[in-house]
Amino acid sequence: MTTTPTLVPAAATTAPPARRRRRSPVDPVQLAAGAAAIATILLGWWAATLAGDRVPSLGETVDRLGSEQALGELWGNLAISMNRFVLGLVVALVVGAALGVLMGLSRIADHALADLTMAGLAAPAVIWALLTTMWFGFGWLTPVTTVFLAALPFVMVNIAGAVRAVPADLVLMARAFGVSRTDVLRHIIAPAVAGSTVAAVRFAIMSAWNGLLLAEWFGSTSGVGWRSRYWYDANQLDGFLAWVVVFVVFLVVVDQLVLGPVERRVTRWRTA
Amino acid sequence: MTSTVVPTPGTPPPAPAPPPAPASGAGPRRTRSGGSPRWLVSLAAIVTALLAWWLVAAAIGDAIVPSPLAVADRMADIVVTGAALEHFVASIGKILAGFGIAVLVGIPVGFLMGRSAFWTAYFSLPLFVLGNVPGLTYAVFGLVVFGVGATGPVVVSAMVAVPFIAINVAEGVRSVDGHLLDMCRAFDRSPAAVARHLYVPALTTFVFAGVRYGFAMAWKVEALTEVFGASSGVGFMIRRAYQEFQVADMLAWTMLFIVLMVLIERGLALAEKRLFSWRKDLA
Repeated sequence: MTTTPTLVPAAATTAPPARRRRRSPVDPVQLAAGAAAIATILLGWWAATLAGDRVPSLGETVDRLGSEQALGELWGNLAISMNRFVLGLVVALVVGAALGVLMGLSRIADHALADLTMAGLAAPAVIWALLTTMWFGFGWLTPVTTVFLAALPFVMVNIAGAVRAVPADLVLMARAFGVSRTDVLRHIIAPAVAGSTVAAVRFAIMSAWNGLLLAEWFGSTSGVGWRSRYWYDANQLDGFLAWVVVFVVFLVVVDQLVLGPVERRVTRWRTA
Repeated sequence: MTSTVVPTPGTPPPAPAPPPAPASGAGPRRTRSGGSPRWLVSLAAIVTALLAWWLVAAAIGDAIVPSPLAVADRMADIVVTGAALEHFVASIGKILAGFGIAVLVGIPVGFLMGRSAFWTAYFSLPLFVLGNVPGLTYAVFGLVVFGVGATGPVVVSAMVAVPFIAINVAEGVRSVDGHLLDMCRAFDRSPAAVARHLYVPALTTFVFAGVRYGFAMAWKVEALTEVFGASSGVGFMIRRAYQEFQVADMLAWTMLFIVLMVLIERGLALAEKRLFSWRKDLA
């Protein structure tokens, strides 16, 4: 019948669309639909190459990706970017989680940080990329700081939501009945917090990845963002598109193949 | 359909909305106001942040980190000279055009998704990609395909907004009561009547929610596209300030952007509450 519309999972107003949870991961209809979707995308791409002669074909793009790999640019730049990405993201997760827990527990902290978080959510990542480029030049600090600043408000908002989702009355009752601390953590707090925490990581990754690319585009001489700019500046769109494929594949893999199953697993207790 | 969206510019008083307000006691979530004097705490926090900024700026003493006063000065200039009005109107005009296209595309797509599991699965990957592709890709796409001009930002904001509209419309279609549909069939209602009395009321709420959630995302990507190539709009002005190394100007435009974004978002939230308060018990 009518499923309840859990629109955006307690996340920011700027959250990406929430996808619906599904029970069985392998279902023939879904498989067929997914295959049809991929076929449509490829068909659309092919149609675009016919329509506009500046659009590189799939073959050219794949060739270029192969030659990038042969030149040793593909994995090297990916590794450099991943390094910066993970560093900035981990710092953002740690700091954001601390501030988020504070916001969830204390009303005063919530009121104090709400407006600043809101401003952080509203600020476009490009401004951080441009500012850090001017401040720090072409070093590693530029992308790392941008990643950190782009991810931070998303982590704060979602972790604060996670903390608020802890059922206080259940915790009190558990304490009254002498349930051990680890059991409370394991059976009451962890399940309540899990969903929003995954959302925090997911939105942080989306936003941070966007920031990383911009920072490397404007202020770096290595990394995936820089490499895609290299091809763009050389007016070789097949090179640029090859890197776009890498960006999108990265997101799809992280979100749909890693975080998606994790989310399904940690929210499996929900009946909705 | 979205013609009712326009948030009256004068009204939005920030969050708490003290007037009579049909705030419907039924609505369980939201409005956690009350307790400590909220505005005082947030004001203190903002002042502290500005003070910290001012101290950092004073310590560095270089135009590369302008003081908040210098930025405020530039903001006042930009507003007084009318540049703010000109460029924000330009940006928002492009966004509105983009959302118009997104609604036209998103409603049929969302309708299909709401009615069949196949189409839900079919559209889920393309919509995920559209909604999550890094902004950089959109910006370059807009520039390469449409050149410097208004078309790029319009198309890009439409592409960003489509997933929000479609997914919300799908939820809206799913929210239509199946028993009511059966009853309409039993009593031989015309499809037009079913659409008018069942689907339209259900969908308007969800389309509005889609617009609200998509707005911030779409505007950020639109501004980014203007950074890469445009002849007007906020992003274009930020780009110009960057090239002239005018950090104060960059920050001034960014602050105005953030303030306006927050105001619009609160305005939309308020409008949503007012317009659809009758429906809260259903959702």
